[in-house]
Amino acid sequence: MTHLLAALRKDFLLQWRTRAQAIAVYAFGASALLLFSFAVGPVAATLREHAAGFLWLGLLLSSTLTLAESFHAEAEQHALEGLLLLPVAPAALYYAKALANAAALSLMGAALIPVMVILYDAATPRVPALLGIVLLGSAGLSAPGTLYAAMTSQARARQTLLPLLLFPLVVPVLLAAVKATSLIIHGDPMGQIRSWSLLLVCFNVIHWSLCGLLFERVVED
Amino acid sequence: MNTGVIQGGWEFVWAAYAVTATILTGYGLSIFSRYRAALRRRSAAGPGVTR
Amino acid sequence: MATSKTPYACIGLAVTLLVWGSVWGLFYAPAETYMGDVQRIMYAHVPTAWNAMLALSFAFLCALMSLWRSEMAWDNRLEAALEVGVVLSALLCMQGAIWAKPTWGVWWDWDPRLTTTAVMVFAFGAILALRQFVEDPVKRATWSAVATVIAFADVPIVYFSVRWWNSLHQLQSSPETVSKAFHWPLRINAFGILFLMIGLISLRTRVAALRREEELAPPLPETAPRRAPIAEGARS
Repeated sequence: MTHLLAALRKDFLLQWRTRAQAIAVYAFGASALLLFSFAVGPVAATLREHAAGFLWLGLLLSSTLTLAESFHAEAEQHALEGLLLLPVAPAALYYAKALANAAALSLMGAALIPVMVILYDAATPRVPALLGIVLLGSAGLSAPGTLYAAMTSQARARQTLLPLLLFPLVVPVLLAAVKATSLIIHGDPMGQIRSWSLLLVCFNVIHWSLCGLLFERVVED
Repeated sequence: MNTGVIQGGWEFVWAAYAVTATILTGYGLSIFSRYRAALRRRSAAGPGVTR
Repeated sequence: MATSKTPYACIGLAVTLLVWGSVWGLFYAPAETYMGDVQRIMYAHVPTAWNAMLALSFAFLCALMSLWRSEMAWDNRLEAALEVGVVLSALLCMQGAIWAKPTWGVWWDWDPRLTTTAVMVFAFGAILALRQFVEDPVKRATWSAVATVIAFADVPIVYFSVRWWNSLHQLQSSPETVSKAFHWPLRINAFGILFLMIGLISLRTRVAALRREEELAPPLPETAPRRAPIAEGARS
């Protein structure tokens, strides 16, 4: 547990020190949201209807940049090998990195919400529920994303491979998060938000445990 | 039309079987040619090489 | 390296069965009550579906064995099963689209099975792509095994999420109600594709094994004739 905390501290420190890059990725996400509206056309009703989908696509696209860079520091100068020499369970390294990624993605998702509200006129009073979905969805993206980032950071063509591997896997996250966000914005007469959040929780439970279990095999030499 | 039975559609049936046959045959041939190429490379490595 | 003729025997048997089953299904089986002649696509479609799932399940098994035993033989089988599974799943999507057009009026319907198959093509195809970009054979084996386990565990979640997502719009009638008269061509073709799959996987495993052999023990440089062009190239 203390190992996890120490690793967590390292990863949050890394995130903080690379905040300039996080801001650049955020700008990328926001500009993606802007571009989606150009693709659909300036009809307010249509934009509002698809706001949730655009928000999550924007977050998904920017998440690949965040995730692909998350093992950058470790891949340089064999820092990961050095970390693995320490008497620390590799699972602790994984969970710390995944938690830091989840935090970074949630922050980015939360910061993209105002952009969505302004561009698509998709305001909602239920901000805590929206933030909860952003948190669950970000966690769902970062659990498999962190594991695949660890792999692809050592492979050639990592910028292409990571989204290629990740996108098919996170289809359930995208579906559930878009549906839940959309229901929050447009109202939920049949009370379906709970079931979509439950799906997100299930995805998270499965992937956080499975990826934590398998991470050791990915980084072993 | 009102019976609910789909009339005709033989062109779709033929298309489905043609696609299936083409892909399976093509894929089988590609494996076979890759196998032959790998065998040829191994024998080209020469009889002196022991593995 | 086994060089037996078993894969060829499997493929020969498969071709015989497939011709037999397809001719029966196309010309002798009665047209279905509601679907009409379009139903005959099912004699190719359903066996492909079963065997695609079987191939990918075998890939999952190979991945587990590869992680557990760390033997290259399991990695070779994994590569073969993944590739055959992806080809069969891609074929399945095409057959599904061809079947959907006369039945539902659109090429693509967001039917959970069709959509899940498409997601699987990309999920497992990505693992094949990953294998292309990793030079170290040991890392490649471990990583693709890990990715296969995760992708396989993801399939049920994808299926249920798509089913849930789509059921809010419409309920699809399923074409599973197959009466007795339709059983035989279906069974014969199922075994035909099964044997084809076994033959292809075992042949593809040999290709993978030969390549692995090349990687682990690259061909020794031939002494005299190889050196000359390299030296020339270095000088220029």
